[in-house]
Amino acid sequence: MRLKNGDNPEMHPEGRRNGAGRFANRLYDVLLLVLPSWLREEAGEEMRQIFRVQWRETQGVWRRSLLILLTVLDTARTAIWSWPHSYGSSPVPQRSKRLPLFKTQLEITMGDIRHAFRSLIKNPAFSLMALLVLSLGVGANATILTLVDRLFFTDPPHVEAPDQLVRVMRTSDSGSEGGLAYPDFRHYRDNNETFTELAAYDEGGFAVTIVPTSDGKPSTESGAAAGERVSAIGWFVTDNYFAALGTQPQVGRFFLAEENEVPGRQPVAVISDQLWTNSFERSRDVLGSAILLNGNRFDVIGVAPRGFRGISPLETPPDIWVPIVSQPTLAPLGANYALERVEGARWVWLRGVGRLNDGETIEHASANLEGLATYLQENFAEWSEGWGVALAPHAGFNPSDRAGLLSVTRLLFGAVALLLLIVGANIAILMLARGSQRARETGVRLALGASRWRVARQVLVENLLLAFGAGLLGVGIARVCANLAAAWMPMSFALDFAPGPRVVVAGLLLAAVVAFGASLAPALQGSRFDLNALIRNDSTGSSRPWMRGGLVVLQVALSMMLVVGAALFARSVATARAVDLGFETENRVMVSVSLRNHGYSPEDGKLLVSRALERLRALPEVDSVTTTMMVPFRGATMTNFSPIERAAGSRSNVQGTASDGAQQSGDGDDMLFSGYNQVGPDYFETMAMNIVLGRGISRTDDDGAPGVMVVNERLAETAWPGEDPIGKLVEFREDSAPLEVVGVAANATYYELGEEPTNQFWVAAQQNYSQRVRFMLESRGGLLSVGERARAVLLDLDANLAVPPPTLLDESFRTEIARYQTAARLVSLFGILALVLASVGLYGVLTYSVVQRTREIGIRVALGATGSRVASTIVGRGLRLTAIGAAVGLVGALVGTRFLVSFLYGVEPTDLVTFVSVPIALLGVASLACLMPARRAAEVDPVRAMRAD
Amino acid sequence: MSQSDPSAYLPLPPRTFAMLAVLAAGPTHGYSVMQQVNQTLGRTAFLGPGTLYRVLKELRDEGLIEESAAPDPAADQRRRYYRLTALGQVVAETEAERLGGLVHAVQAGLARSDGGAQ
Repeated sequence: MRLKNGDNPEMHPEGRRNGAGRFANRLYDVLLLVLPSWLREEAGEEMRQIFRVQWRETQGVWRRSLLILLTVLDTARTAIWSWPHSYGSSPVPQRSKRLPLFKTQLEITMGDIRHAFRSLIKNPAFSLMALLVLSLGVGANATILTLVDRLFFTDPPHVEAPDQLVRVMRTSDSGSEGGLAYPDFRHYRDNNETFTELAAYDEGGFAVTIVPTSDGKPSTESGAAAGERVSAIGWFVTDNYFAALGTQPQVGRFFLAEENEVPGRQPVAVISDQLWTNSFERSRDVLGSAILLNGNRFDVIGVAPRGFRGISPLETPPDIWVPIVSQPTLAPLGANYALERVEGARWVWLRGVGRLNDGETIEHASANLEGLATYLQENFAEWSEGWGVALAPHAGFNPSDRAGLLSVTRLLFGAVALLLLIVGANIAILMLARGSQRARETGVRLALGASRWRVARQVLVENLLLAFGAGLLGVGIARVCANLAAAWMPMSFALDFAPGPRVVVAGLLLAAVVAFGASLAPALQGSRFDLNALIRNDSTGSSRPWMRGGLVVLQVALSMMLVVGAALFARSVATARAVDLGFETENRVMVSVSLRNHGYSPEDGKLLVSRALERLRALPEVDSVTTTMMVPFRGATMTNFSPIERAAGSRSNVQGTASDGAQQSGDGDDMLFSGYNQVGPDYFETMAMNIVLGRGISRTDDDGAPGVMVVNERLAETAWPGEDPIGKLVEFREDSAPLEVVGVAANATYYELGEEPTNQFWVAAQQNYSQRVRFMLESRGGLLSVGERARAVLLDLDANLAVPPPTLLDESFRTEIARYQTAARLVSLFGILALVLASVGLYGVLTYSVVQRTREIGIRVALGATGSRVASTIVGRGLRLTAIGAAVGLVGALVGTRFLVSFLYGVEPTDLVTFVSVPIALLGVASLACLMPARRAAEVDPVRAMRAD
Repeated sequence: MSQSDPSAYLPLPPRTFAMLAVLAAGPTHGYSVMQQVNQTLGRTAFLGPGTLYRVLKELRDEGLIEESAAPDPAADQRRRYYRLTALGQVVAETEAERLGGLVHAVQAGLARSDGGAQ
């Protein structure tokens, strides 16, 4: 049965068990570990059950966050109370017959907290430093966690039970995946047994000009009440699209089945919350009104809920949704062409999304659909031969995007984890220093009879307080930085990366774990409290200097690893940047226009383009202008290349000298495969591509002139080895005369960085119509404003055209190297942070040792040691620690960088330059960190040093 | 537990008293105790599963409550049910009396001060 929109608000009441629920369950399992085993064994399972029930009964993010908070508190309280109990024969005698829970525990805790506050405020330097360092570490982690949380664990808004949604894709024998054709989709929709709903939507979207009207007539001309013309993105969707996602309209309704049956009978549209706000001022009257889409009247029937964006975070949400059958309506002149798209079996343009029946597995659903695909292949071989079907779980991303994102996030996680370790070591150093500072206080408290637990708890509460503050600060840092970091990711998302409640909890927990772990350092050091020594403030006995040194070594080693990684990435980007692409990317701006849905005949389209070119050339700030169908790094159009005169002699030549290259793929097969592009006049000049022979495409290569093409060197050599390619004829389209080769262009990069030279040819756009045209302009500055002026020119030629904002050619190149750049930027940032933290740690330890050894230094100076001699001891110690750390770090980096290969371009993971220069730089930074403490040591006044105690 | 002087347990913390009060109405399982206590005490004293089972365990160790069979054979047999022991009953009653007396005294005092004001 297929459900219609709007009539099934409770479609999947059981389907709420989503990612958040699993996360909560896991969190609770972890929490339970805090409890003593006797309580876990006694009641663990029941507690778990109760939490699950509570979770299910609690709805809404904030209520659930509150539940988590209360549960964490409850568990912590239980843990504190239960542990002493578990020592059956505890040395502390039970004070009374009263149950332990009758103690007024809360008062003591409040007292602890007050005391902790006071003592933190008393040491502002320590507190601020610890707070800063810890919040930086937590902030970096929370930033990455926010990305992961939003990208992989946050359900798309207004989508019911997204776990039940699956993507349905067409697969080819060769394993590539793509969209569905409409007949595929219809067959699957009508015959499957595994989906409650199977819907589809246009994968690309279409550009529209929207004119809100009051009475069905365009009101723009009439002035005052005129709705503003808006350029927007629309999606073609099947009538059940919203029902499949479980989305409810905030106003009006969604599509009915009959509205997706007959083209043009009932043109209806659903608009986005944003369009409703901007063009209709959120008035409910929108339901009665109509809008013009590319000049065609559509009735508005509903408004999608605010924030609704479909299922993928990578797709820019549209402003308008129309039924798939509206396609011909939106392109009246090209109706046959457009209809072919809806009805055509070869036109794969739809993304399928299905909601599985309750309890249905994806494996079973796959098997079901594969059966249907086999039926299609057997009975409609003419269009479905070689095509299969594949289902992918997780509606959010398609599998390859997901894999790419996962590898980047894994890398970043590694980096922030290292950073957090460094932070931990740093805080431990701070706490060690603090611990010895307050050793006297602790000694006094112990001597006065405070229990060891009482003293330890004091430290614990202080650290937790610090952790709480740092956790909150860290989440604040993530709030600011996550969007910046997301902007550096290799894909662009239409999401706001705000830390959710899970990240807040995780940030607080991380901070608590690090603070707690770091506080173990002084605890370890002071495990054998010698009360007398402490009270005498004779610290030499109790301290273990190797621990501080060890912590510095650890920090240096870890930051070494991070910096080596960062340097490798930076070198990759530099290498990629320096590659000669064979064309220029800078100072080029593109404005694209799709004539597809605007009713242009090929003749009109060509006329529009040539008029536009004329006017753009006339702009003073434009140095050169052309058109192109393809943009480097943004996909390929491949075709067979069929030279008519392929010198008979040359073929045997090629076969005769087979040893000189693997150019011919085949066994006597004449077919050559090549990429091609349709370009306007001056293309090679505008792109700064070299013509090595003959000429490029010129302004005279229009409809009246003989057909021409330009080939690249590699294609020329492959097709006509040893011959002059100029003047050769090539069959391009069956229905038109062969094209003559007029020029040879130097090989260049066309599709991806680092590709082997590939076959490529260019034909003249004025002789071969394409509905998709990109104007490419070269200009020396103010690129985007030049692009905007070009856009204005196009809109002036036809106000109904949908012209998206201009883009930079350099941007598509940057996208190409984004993968390297993401790693380079973020890891460099973390590397610098790590370096700073390690230097601070080194500085702290050296300063501390100078302070601690003041008396000793004083004696030395009194006995005749010079200032420089004293200073060099300090510097020597610092550099020794750094050198050990650097050596350990180098080994770690050698092992670790092997995992970075996929993020490196043109650089070996064991790059010698990096592995030599980074340690040198590190030693340089370390000696800077040694300077201050060394000076301090050199300036020790022996008289005052001796008198100090 | 040989301890049998109910007044040794007094005063009971509100949560513990509320738990005993729930069990005084008849045997029931942990989750229901928790729900009812949270209903009675509201936001002022959230009782989570951790505290619940810790206190239940302690109450059992002290002999104030014991495990019981499910009150109704149709009830969920996987859950553990608890009921008051005789001692628990007495402790709960004594605490109720004590609190009742306290409430009474406070009310009387308030009534007097009201009368004085008029």
